[in-house]
Amino acid sequence: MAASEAITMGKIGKGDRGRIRIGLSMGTVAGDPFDEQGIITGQRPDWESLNRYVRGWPAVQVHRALSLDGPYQMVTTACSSGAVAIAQGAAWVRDGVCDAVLAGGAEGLTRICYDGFASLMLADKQRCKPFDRHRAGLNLGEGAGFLLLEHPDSARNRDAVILGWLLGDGIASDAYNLAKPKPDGTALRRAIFGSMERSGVKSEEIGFINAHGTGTADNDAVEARTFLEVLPGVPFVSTKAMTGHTLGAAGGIEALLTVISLMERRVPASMGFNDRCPECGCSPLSRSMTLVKSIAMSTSVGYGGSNCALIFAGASGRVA
Amino acid sequence: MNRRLDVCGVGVTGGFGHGWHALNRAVASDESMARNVDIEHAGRVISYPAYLPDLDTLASQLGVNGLRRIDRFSRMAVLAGAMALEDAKPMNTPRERIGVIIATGYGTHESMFMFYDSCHKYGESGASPLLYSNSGHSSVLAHVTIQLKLEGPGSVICQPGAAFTMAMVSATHWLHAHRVDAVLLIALDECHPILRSAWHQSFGDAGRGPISPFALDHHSGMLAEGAAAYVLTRSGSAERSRYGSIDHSQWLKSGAAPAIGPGELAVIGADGMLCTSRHYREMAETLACAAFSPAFGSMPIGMGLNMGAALGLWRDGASNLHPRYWHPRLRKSPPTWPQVVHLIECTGEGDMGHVVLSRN
Repeated sequence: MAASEAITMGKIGKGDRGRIRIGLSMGTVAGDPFDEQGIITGQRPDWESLNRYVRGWPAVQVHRALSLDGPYQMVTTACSSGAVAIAQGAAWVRDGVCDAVLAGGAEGLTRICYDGFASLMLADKQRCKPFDRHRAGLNLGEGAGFLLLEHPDSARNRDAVILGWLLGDGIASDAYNLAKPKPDGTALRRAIFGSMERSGVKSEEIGFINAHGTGTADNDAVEARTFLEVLPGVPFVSTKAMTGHTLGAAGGIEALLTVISLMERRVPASMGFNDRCPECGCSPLSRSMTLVKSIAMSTSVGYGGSNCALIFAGASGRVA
Repeated sequence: MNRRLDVCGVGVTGGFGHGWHALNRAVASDESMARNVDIEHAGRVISYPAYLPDLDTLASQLGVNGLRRIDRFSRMAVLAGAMALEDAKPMNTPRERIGVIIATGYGTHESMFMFYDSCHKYGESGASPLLYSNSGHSSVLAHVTIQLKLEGPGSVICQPGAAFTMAMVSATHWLHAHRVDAVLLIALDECHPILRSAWHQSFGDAGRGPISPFALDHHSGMLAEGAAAYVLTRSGSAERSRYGSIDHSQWLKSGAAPAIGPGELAVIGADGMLCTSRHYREMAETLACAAFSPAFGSMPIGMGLNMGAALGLWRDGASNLHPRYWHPRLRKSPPTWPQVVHLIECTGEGDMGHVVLSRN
């Protein structure tokens, strides 16, 4: 539904479809590949569940449903999946693998994910409070967010309305721990610097950061300290108290919210934040803000140490 | 524009053993490397032949420790990756300049289904947090980067068709955009009891092989798991290429045909699986074709192991390829192993992954 909406909003009509080769780069953690109630090891699995499991890969389904002509891939780098899928999809367009790509993520909320985060004791029973002193974990959510990324020449040729520009990205691995981010944030820092270098953007040009900001103790502390160190004074916000943590879809949804903020020149307040956290060293926006600058960053941090930063410009901002 | 990649290190493991020498021995022979595994189904235990690697032996050969608590899928990835990095030595690339891309058809299963079992049994209060941390298809990336101390960009591509090709497309971009100086690309698939059960329910006795890759109208696939890891660099970089180069990687929509020149060869991904084999029919009839699946079994990422066999034949002089790997019409007088090899994998929908290799 979200990918289809992106095509509609991009005004790619039937006439364009033969001319514009569209790929799909989709992030997910678990997707919704099968009915987990139906498969238990050691028991006779229900055939319908097995069949859905073997055939039910979301990227294949979306690619087929939208009759896309370009390549597809399903990226699974935990909670950074959507952002990494955008970065890799953009590379296809830059390299001429396809003219445009639907890039983002989708995630269904399954009992397995719910039980998983409950077992890790990372789920807040109240509304989550990213970067707050009393944060107690995340709220799971489900959803999907896709961007239609198109080569500037292709977009101009068909007089497309350009909503914004993806200027660059950075990806780096912690190589530290399966369940905790690296405390010194070195990999996140490399992802941020990498995205700035590839975008040709300086820190003073960045209007705000849409942070990963899950509401968990470790993630928020590492992320905030890294912002303080490498992008001091740049306002940041977490949107997860509004959307929930949609795992593999989060990078897609947050990229989209970043572009919308640039379009509307307004950044929302970081919902759920009330009390400054000394461990974080800095605080997110507690009130919505008028955006003067035309460039913004979205960061995503995946369980297991996958870090990704994306830099966007508003439609009237710098051209990629 | 030259977008070639050099292959500087190879690590392969499967039912044939470990390393490109073992894969070379397998393609020189017509012996089956499969052994029997048990499948529990409806209260009965049924035996099936399967190609499975011996990971304990490989771990001790490589002297890699600390894998005891890691699930089988990730262990296989770490060991194949370690083998490829060892093979690529001496490497001067700093670890934050080495990217990691994992390609897999079905992803991790052992820890995922164990976690599911614990949820069914104990509910949210008793489910295992350790198993959950290991259960996502992304956990393999965490294990590989942690165990092999690689801090560059990482990605996991998980889909039953063309995962290896799409991983190669991303590796090409990362290297030629100078985001990294080397990529460790690991392709692997696991053969978990749940998949074995699905296999039994789908194929029954037809799932026992032997694989006849060119008999394209009936199922002859066999259960398998294995991994193929490659250290890739930009062509002409400081690292030494010892196997060959990747000239080009692309995804082709169903109906498109890869451009294959005279004297070149197609190594097709036909592995006895009927869902994909029909898509190879036309090229099998018109091109000079080989298929190595009888050496390692039926896996979505079989293209990764086909590449290992093709590169190994160049490294080894290509004198001893057993005729059974050639298309039947070429068996009486097989062509010499060419300088350019096209790896082709078809998806169930008929789309195609295409990777072009050339000898250095």
